[in-house]
Amino acid sequence: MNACLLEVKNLCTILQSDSGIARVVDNVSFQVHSGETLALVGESGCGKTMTAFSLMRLLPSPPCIIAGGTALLGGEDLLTLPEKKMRQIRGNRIAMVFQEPLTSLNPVFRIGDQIAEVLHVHRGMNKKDARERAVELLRDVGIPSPESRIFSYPHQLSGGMRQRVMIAMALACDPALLIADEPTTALDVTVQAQIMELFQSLQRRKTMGILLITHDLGIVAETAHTVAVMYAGTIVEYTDVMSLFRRPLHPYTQGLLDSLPRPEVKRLRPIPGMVPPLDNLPNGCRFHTRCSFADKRCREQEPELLPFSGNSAQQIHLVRCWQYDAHMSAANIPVSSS
Amino acid sequence: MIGEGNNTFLDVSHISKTFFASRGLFMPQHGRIHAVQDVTFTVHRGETLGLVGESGCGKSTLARLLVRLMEPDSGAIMLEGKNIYHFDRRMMLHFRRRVQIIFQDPMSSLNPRMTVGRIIAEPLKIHGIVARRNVKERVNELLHMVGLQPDAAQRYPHEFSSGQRQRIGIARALSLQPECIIADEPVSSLDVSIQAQILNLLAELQEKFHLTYVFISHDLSVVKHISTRVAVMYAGRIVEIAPRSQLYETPIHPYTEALLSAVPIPDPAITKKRVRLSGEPPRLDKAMHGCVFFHRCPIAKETICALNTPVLEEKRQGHWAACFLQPNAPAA
Repeated sequence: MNACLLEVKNLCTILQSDSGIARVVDNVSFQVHSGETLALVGESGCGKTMTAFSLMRLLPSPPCIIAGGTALLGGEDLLTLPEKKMRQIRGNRIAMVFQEPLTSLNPVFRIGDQIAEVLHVHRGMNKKDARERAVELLRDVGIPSPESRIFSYPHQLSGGMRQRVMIAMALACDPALLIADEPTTALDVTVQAQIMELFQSLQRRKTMGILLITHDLGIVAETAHTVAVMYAGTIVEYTDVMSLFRRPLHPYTQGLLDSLPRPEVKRLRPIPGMVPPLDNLPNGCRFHTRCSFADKRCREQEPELLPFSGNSAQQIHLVRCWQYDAHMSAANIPVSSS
Repeated sequence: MIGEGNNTFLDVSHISKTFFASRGLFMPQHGRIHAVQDVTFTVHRGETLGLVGESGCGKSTLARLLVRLMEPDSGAIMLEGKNIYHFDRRMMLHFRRRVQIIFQDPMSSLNPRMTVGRIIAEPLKIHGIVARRNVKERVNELLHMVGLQPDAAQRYPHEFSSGQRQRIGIARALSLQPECIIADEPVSSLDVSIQAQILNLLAELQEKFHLTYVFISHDLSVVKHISTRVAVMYAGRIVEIAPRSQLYETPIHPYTEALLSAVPIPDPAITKKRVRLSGEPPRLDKAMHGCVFFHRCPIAKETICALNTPVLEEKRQGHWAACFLQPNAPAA
């Protein structure tokens, strides 16, 4: 396994509102290694995006408060760095690609100037060099005739092209870590395939670590190395991509996989009910209201995310479920580093 | 005509729709957008016809044309030998009872100021098919059918989750006991576990009421799951139409092939060969010569494909494709 790039431990983010306090990210721990992709998977409202925004410190406070945890990137804790230092890291060592490129690009500036700004701020490049580098970056991400494209405004580009511009901008400073929040959700499937391929080839070339946030299990299977499944603010299962699809342990993960449309079955097996509101979570396991295996203990006590020892010893496979209590190894390490 | 027979429900022939778009406030020139061009197909009774394509390919325009929420520029849709675009008000009312539509975003298709009970009761009252005193009972029955509690009738659409709202939309469509439902991206805004619930509900209702579906989606795996036949649209045209398994296993049109290979498969053990498409779908505001897929097609030949527009031909039994280069071969 490659060097650990980002280590997040027990991240907690709370959201204060009139209706109460919601723990939108609750005790989330994971590691991103260089040259590898960690996928955060889950349905809407499970805390995937909140996790990413907490790491980038992009959440407005109030109402959001990072209540605890550490996020170490090269020895520095992203969660406690002063804002001035954080600004030097954003767009430089960590870059982010958002779901909707039209809302994250500035509509009144030419795309070449927007990319050049990143280089000017973080690399101190002059105008001419920055523009040349912008052309190179646009060529890298597969935009045809970049010399003339740098003069385009965002609205003149298609959705796929805009997302490429966002990626070019994110890659401008050779970030060690790229956070991609649903990068292809707004795109068509043929364009999505182009963008995912682009990510993979860039990762191979630059040994970048990617934190990929997605709800699409197909994309997870094709691009992720490690997967963290999130449900109602917590990670419920954490393992390598092969184990997740071959031997999903958590009933929620199993439910997600069973919900995928398949032609060979007449009826799917959906997860009954809905995600509980985060400011009014059930006692015990958060999933017990929708879980067919739930018993008394599940309703009363919340399980921990523990390593499952039934798997081959080399692979980490963490699961948050009482069912596997007997199979849990004695070592209670939330995320074991290997 | 494609698949002519006794079980034809809707017979769509050579339908086209062009929109006129103004290019901004101070520019009087108008652009034409050829949203649907020369589309011909049939909808069989009792089947689920899946209609797939990428955004802007004309799927939703076609859906609206099918229920006559829009008038086409040319072409006809025949229902039992009569063109629905020639129906008068009274016949149209009857047509609406037989063919209903559900939309992608139930929040914008449900009136936020009406209770769910009123929303579902409205078609019943307009069409007068249930006596006034029985309306309430019928509404409860419909709510039960789509898996909602009877107390939902007193609540407003915003009080429901998106999956439940889609159920309300389905209940309203079912209220008139239609024979056919046009579903325009009905599960696209839903999470995968809720999507599965709605797909199951649609399948269950189809069995119970012998419904015919035209199921429009951009999601190829959803369409593969629910459809019996599938039509692929590209740039305003249907480029291929075939029974589900034939389309997915032995696609004929190069676009279908590329589209299918672009879908990520939720199994990490499978690494597949991808047909890479360069570029993007063409803009529909320019007049096009030749095949609509010509510029992105990996097998296109300039001498043939750039000059003429291919029409749908039966390449194998029941398997139609619009491509000059693929041979007309009997089924293997």
